[in-house]
Amino acid sequence: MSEEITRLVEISIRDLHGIASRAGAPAVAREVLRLNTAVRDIARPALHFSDQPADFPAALLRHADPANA
Amino acid sequence: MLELSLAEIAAAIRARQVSSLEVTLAAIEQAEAAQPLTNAFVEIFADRALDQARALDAELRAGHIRGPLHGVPLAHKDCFERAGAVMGVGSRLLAESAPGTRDATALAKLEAAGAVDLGRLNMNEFVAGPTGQNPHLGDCRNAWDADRVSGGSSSGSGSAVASGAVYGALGSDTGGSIRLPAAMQGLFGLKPTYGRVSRAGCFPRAHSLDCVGPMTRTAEDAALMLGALAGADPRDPTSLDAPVPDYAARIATAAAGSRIVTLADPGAMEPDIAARIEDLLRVATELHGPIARRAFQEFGACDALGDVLSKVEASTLHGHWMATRGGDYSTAVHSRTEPGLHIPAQRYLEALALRGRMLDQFLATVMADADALVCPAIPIAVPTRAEADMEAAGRVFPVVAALTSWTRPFSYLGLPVLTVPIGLDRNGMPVAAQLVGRPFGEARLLALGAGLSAALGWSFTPGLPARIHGDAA
Repeated sequence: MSEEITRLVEISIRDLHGIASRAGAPAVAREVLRLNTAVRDIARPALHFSDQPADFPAALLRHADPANA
Repeated sequence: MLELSLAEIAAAIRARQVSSLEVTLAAIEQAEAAQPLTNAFVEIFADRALDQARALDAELRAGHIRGPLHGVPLAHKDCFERAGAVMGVGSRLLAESAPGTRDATALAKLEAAGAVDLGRLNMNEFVAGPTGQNPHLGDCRNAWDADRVSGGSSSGSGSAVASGAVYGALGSDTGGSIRLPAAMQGLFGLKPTYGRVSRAGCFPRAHSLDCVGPMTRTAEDAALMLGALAGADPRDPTSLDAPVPDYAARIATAAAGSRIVTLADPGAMEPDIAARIEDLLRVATELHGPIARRAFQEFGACDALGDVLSKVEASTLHGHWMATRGGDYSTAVHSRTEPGLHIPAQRYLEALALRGRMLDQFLATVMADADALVCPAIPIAVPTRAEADMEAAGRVFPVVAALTSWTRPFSYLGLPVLTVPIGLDRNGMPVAAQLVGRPFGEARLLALGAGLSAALGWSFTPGLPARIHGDAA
């Protein structure tokens, strides 16, 4: 699994982004895999069709500490 | 006079007990004396600052006070646009860029409040890094112990304030970049609510997370700076239109009735850090009543969600330069940015779309019936520069994780966070807690921070090295 992801990252670095890696594909692949898994696992069961990025600033204003008034 | 707080020196200038010119001259002298040890400044605007001070003194003699910062020398992280000055952002890439044509909104607001701008401050390259390490400009060093890291990425802001060269400084914070250098140098560092302070003219790491805020030696000083900075700005569409209270006026009262919680499972901390946190919780209980311990089960998830936003947005910003001038980046920043190129777009959009729901959930559970959460800022003692060397092979990811594990989750939630100095670690270096508030709860956090640090006896003398005094010594 990790070797396949590493190979995918090597191809992505070269062909999609045209960048010379400084971290090395194995380290980048580990980090991508870690973050992808963490976010996928929290998002898939939680995400509702109505969730959208604009909810966030609205929530900040809606929950404002009354000490700010 | 450099030992006075921002509030004290501003009052003395207004009362004409001392001139802005005298204060600014002393600040320049201290900045130049400290520079070989801290490397906090990229450029000291000596002539320009003295011209500003003379003009402000003339205005004062004519009976005009611009605002609460009239005549007070400040300096700022080199990530803010200034008319007529280079903004190098701690990088080789932008070190020789053309001078700016307008001021960042935050700088313009500080100038309108009467502040003197003493210069550009050192920082981690491209506002990315928790240590102050910078292979292009030389590392910024801690004013308490030059062998230890200053914290970053607003490293010069921390060292300039802690060494007494200026009374306050602006930093920017994507995942901890105000809070970490403040925590490591005994300062109050305020990451405001996302959208509280305009980001216009501030070089970004990640637009969805970046916040601009003050770093000072007292909570009252941070309140004075925030009062000048806060408010919606047409130049920054993410700035939010919420009331701006008189933070400084409320510092004696806004903590009244506050309900505080902490985390049931605070995770691994070094013993001396855990002991200082327990000291704080004891004092907080005495002042504000029983402190409930709550579970924050999504702590790790919020860290990852914020990390995805940060890495993808940073890689978008830097992709072209990484392809064309990759060798001009430090190893640490290039390496940290690379994963963002390969994270699926779906993960990025999930992190954005879930953010409002995650905030709702956090406030309804961890912060239910509570006004502030107390937790550590950094779970380990301030490391030496050798221990935290991010340019060494394979070191960047573990160093960043060790230092930012407590700061980044709250960046994702967009909440205001104040670092409060609470004592010293086994090496005599500052230890800090984070006070996390509800959205736009800065007035309460500043009042809480002032009261708690005073109750712990925290007080320190800026200088080289900075030294604690009072009951906490």
